[in-house]
Amino acid sequence: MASIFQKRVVADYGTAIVKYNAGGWGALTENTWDAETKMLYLIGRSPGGAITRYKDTPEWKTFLNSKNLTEDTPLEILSATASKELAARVVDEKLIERLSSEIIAKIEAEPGRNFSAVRIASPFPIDPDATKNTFAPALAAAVTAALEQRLPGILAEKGLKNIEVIADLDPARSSHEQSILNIVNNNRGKTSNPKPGEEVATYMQRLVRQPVYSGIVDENAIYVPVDDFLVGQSTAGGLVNYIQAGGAVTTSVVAAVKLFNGVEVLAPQQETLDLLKLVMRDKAEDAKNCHREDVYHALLNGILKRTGTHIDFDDVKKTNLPNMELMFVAGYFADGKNPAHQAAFEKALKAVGSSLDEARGNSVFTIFSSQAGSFVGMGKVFDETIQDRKLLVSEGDQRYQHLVKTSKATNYFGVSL
Amino acid sequence: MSTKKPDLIPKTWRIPAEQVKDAWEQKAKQFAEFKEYFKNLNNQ
Repeated sequence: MASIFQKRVVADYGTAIVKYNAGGWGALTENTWDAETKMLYLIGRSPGGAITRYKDTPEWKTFLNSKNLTEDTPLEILSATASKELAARVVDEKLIERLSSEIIAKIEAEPGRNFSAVRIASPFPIDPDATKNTFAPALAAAVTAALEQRLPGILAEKGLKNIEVIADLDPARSSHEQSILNIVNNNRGKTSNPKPGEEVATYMQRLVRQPVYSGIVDENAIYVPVDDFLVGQSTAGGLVNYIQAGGAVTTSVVAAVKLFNGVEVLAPQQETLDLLKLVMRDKAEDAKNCHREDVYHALLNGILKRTGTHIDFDDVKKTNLPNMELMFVAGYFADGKNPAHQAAFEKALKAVGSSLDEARGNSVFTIFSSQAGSFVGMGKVFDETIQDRKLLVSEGDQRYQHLVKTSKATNYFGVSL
Repeated sequence: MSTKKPDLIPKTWRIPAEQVKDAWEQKAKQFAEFKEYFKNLNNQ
C-alpha cells in the first residue's frame, strides 16, 4: 500500500515575523513583551477589562498623558488609540524589510509566474465577542499602508514590475464573501478572557477542533498572513494551509506577539488531518472503551495502517507520522481519565519533543502537559467532543470528496478508505 | 481566481452568514479608518 505521507505536499510555513516574545510557561528564555506594550494590546483587545486591571498603574497614566486622553474618554476611542500605537510600534523598518525580502524571494523563485497582487489576509475571530478587538484590523492596516508606500520602490530597485497591495479587510477592495475567514472560530473555544460562566479552552480542544476557513483564494497572489498573537499557532497554520492548498503562495506569518517559535511545528497539514479524520471514523467510541495500553496501541495502529503509517509505541522515535499529526492522533483519542490513553499520549508528546530542537520540544511539551492541556482537562475534552469528532469526520469526508472532484486527490491514490 | 469552495462545513459548526457579514463589515470599517491613519502617519 502506498503511503500517502510520502506523496503529500507539505505547506511552507516559513518562520513567523514577530516583534515581541511573550515568554511564559517556560516557553522562551527571553521575554521582550514589556508591561507597556502588553497593556496596549489588552486595551485594544478588550478595553473594559484592561482598564480595571491597569487604572492604577504608571503605564496607564503615561499612556493617557501621551495621547491627551482622560479617564472619561469613551472605550472605543481608548481601544483604537492603543491599537494604533501598538501597531505602529510593531510595523517598523525591520519588519517591512524582512517582509519585502520574502515577497521578492517568492517572485524570484517563480520567474514565469505572473503575480498580480500582494494580499493581506487576517484570520481574526469572527464571533461577536471579538468585535471589540481593534488590534487585529489595526495591525492589518499598518502592514497594508506600509507595503503600499514602500513596496513599489523596493520592487523597482530590484528591476521587478510593480504589484498592487490588497487587504482582504479593505471594504473598497474586497467583501466578506471574498475574504478568507475562519468561520468556525467560536466553536473552537477561547484560550483567554472568558466571560463569567465560560470556561477557558485547553490546547487539546484547540488541537482537536481545527479552524475551518472559507473565502476565495487568488491563485495569482502572494499572501501575507497577519495575526495578532501566536499561541498554539494552529489558527495561523490553518490559514497558511488553506491559502497554499488554494494554489497561492504565502510569506511567513506576520504577528505582534508570539509565545514561541513554531508555526511549522504545531500546525498540522490540513490534508493529512482530513485523511486521518476519515480513517478514524466511528472509532472514538471504541477507543473510549479500551482500557489496556497494548490493546489501545493496537487499535490506533489498526486505524493508521489504512493510511500506510504507524506509531511505534516501544520506540516512538521510529514513528513515521510527522510530529503534529502524531499529536493529533494521540490527542484525538486520548481520554485523560484513562491511564492507557494517558500513557500513549505522553509517549506521543515525548516523540514530538524529541524530534525537535530542545527549545521547541520543551515548548510543545510544556503547553500540552501544563494546566492548559492537562490530562484531567483532556478527560473532559474527550467526553465533550465525541460529537465534534464525528462532525470533524464528516467535514473530512466532504473535503475528501471535494478533492476527488477537483482532481487534487491523487495524493491519496492507493489508500483504502 | 479559484472558484468558490462548496459548503463543506457541518451546519452545527457554521456561524450564521448574517453574523459573518456583520462582523466582517465592522472589522472592515475599523480597518478603513486605521489604514487612513497609517497612510497619513507614513507620509509625515
